[in-house]
Amino acid sequence: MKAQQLSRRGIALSFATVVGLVAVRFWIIQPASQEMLLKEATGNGALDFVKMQRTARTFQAEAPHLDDTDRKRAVLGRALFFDTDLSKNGKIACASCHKPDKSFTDGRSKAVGLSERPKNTPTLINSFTSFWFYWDGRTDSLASQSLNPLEDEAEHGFSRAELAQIIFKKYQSQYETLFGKLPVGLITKLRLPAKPTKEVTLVSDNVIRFAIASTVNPKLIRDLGSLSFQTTQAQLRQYRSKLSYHSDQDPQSVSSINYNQLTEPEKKQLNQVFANIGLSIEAFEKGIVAIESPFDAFIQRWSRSSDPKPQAHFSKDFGFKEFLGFQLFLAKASCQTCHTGPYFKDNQFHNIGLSSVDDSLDLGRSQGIKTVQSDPFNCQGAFFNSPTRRRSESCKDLSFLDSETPEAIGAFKTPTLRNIAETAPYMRDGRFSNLRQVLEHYNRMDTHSGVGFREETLKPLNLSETELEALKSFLESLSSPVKELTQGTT
Amino acid sequence: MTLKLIQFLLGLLFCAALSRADSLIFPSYQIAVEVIEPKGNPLILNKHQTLLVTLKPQTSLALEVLDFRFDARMPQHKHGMVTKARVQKVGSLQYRVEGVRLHMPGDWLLEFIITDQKGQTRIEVPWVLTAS
Repeated sequence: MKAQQLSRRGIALSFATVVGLVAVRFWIIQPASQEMLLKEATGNGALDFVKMQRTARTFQAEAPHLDDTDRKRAVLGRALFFDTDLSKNGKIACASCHKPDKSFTDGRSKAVGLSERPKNTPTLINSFTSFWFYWDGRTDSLASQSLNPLEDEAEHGFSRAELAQIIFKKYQSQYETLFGKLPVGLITKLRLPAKPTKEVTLVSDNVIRFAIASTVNPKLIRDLGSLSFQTTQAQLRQYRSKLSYHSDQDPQSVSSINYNQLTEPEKKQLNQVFANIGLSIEAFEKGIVAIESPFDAFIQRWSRSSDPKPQAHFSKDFGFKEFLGFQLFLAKASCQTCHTGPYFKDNQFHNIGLSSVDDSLDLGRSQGIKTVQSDPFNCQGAFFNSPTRRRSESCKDLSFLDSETPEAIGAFKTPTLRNIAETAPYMRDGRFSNLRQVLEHYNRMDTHSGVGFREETLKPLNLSETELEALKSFLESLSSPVKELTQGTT
Repeated sequence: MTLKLIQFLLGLLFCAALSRADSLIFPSYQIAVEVIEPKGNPLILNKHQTLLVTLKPQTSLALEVLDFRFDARMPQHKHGMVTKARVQKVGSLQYRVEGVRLHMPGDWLLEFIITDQKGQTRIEVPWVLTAS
């Protein structure tokens, strides 16, 4: 009898535990608690659903406009994107790091081509809305961005002359339909490999001095607000050698010598083929889109409805938990200060105070500005200077950027949060393996330890466990199937 | 569209008038600001904009403006714009300001720095931008 009672009690206890766990799992929160949580998330005032609905309407994402030229170029671009022949060892393609099944990232902390790169691979989804590329914004268009890895010794390790030969051997007809005759005479006589020495204009010594000083005493340096700091020549030399910049080629290399033997008109012809490769890959990448997430479906339902109460538009994959996360994102956690608008990015650069993972001195945007301003494939150069590109936001800014602005030192690009749950690990060096770690980082905001000034308004979020989980669920609701809008076109 | 512009100009004048109480600010000039590229907008979040600034001295004395500069800062963030605006004189008291980008939401302070024979006048105008 006693044993039976004990057993019944055990069953009841187990049942209660299961119910409890299920309740926690499915986020059963009473309406009164929901209201309290929402008020806390939005600043403790009265809940204004009409205002919230108006804000939500600004989060409606749109697909890119792709014209006939884009669609035709994208066919060649897609073939090139997946072609491992475009590399020194015949094993690396753009898709090696930008894998379609990982939202066009690679799942690694740091990108690996022929060797490891110092940064995490950014996603390509919705890149038609970006106007700077790379973590430091060293290129100003998808077209110019796509050219860099091809010749980078640590990525594809190829040269523009070898690329031109691949185009001639495998894609001549497709290329000529799009861009006119290939310079076949030149291509067949090219000595391989051939590419120019990459000349990178480095930041000034003032910037380096400032960066050094900021690592010693950021508060003092910030208060002084000046770039005038004294260092010895020996210190400067030492730190300059630690600079993480993007020059990876020896001027005495075979590639450089072969390239320099070409006449100026020959160089121009070869560079035009190279630029057209960039235009093709850009056209393909412009069509990589992810804007059909549970969040998007909720926003559409809510935006179009005459009922401003969000609860009326919840679904099984976007409910109160996600909604609470969204409101935290907008208000209490202020994530939208940088992750702005329907693509959850601002196309700008911010110093969030992350330490360097190695001994290098990574100046971020400061060096990125110098690099993009001297890039022959920027919107002011000879190849990508169409009126449309000159009207782009990046091109308008290009000549107004100042690498000596203290805020640019140690600043990196805001990544999109779309499909963020699919693109672990996180941060520019992939230091966090899951979203929870990222949120905990912002919740604590450890002492600043990077170079330059950390964005002043970054303070510990102090979110509760419930709020952290809600924010995480909201971020997960931003995951969408990835579509290649140009796929299947001929 | 016109209404927005009028609201913006009134806002500037109002804020300038308010800031006269501050000892750093000199009430010597009235400032009219028009966003000319892209046309018809007020100063908005994270867009490259070009302004046309017209100065009107608040005194009957004929003052020659020797120098005019424009900048914008976010005092709470302790930083300014990501761009360095350039000023070009296009009329006797009219200036074209290129390269303005208020890249973050929050409280901005627009700075109009005017140098004339009497010295330097700094007019600071608060401007709030929201993310959505």
